[in-house]
Amino acid sequence: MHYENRQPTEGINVTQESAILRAVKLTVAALVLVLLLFAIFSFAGGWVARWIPFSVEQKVASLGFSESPLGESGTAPVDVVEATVALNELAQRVMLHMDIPEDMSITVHYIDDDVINAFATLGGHVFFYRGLIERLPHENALSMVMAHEIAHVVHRDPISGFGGAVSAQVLLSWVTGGAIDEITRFSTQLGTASFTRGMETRADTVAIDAVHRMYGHINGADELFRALVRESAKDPGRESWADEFLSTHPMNDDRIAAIQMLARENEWLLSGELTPKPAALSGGVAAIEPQAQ
Amino acid sequence: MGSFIVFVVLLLTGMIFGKIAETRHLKSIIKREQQLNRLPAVASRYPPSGEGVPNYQQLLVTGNVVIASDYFKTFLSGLINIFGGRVTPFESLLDRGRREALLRMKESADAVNADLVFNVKYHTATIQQTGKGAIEVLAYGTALIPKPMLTAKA
Repeated sequence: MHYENRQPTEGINVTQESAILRAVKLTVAALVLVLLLFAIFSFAGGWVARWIPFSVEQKVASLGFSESPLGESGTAPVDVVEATVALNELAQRVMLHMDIPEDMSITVHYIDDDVINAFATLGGHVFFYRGLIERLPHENALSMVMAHEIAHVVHRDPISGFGGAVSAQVLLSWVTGGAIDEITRFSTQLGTASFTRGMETRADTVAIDAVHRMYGHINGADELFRALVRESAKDPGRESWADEFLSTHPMNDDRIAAIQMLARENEWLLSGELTPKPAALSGGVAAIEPQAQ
Repeated sequence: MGSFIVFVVLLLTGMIFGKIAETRHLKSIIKREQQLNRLPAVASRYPPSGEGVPNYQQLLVTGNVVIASDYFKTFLSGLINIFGGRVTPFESLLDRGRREALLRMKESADAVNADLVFNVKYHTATIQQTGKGAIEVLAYGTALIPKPMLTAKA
């Protein structure tokens, strides 16, 4: 018997196709799929998270943040202590004009940093940066920001956002088997920005109402957005922080317009006396002199 | 954004260098296959009857290769895993793996002056987790070596 090997014909065991074209098509399809799944998972996760009792949220938060706004060590500088006390007092005053559930408490922390931002997080903890306080010229503007952050806590936005993000990440990673982590990460970043915008608008609406109840008019309430617009125009080189702040918030001009529309609808006074900031928070140079409108 | 740039760089690196490595490897395989076609390797379980089989010594010969996937192939196969379909990026990888393993087995047989290798079989294994890392292909068979040759080698 005679045996021989012949050269195998190429292209039978290997499909001839453009791998790049296939990669592009599948990437687009995967992006659409991931965004869709992200929307479903984060909505479901956020919805479920809102049912977690606030006391449980506080316990979870206590693992990460100190219950006392001044930290456990008690070594904070005097000006930080005074600013923190003033912020918490302001929060209490603002809360008198808001519908706060009985079991809910707010703890305001002061961060001695030039960042122009404030945020609410798990367990009713609200953080204010020195940079933001310095650029707000009067208490009316500060109260608006405070009411906005408290509204997030009342709406359970932090736990909802956290629950939504965690469930979206975990479920997406599970569904895709971690095979396309990069696509998942990229598209979840895209998704997060659009998801918090609705929450921001809702918090604005509640906050402006609280400011109106507190002062009897809404003069100066939109000062934060005006200050942000001015800051980015004044110093284009520092736009990065403004962009960062804006990335999860509706555009400032839109927010100013929304506030004015609410005022018109409710026939709120647009002008009125502006209240100076509490002494402990009046350090630094205000961006502008307050202007009556 | 930083991690996205790293991802794109890795993807392009995998695509370009993976393609170069594959083309180069396939060229080398075809060349060596043409040279070793004179030594048949067959899948039949028994040695050919007649032709003085008793004059042959039988020897196990093996050929083994480990080939890594590249980043682009791994990424593309991850996408295909979602939607289904032929995992074409790994078709060429496994094709090269099988042919290289068979070639190495034939080279082992040729080194002991075998006339034929019969009962050829393949084994494959993945190194690291599925879809990542590398594949191993082992080809083995029974080489028929003319007795005088074996004596001469010894």
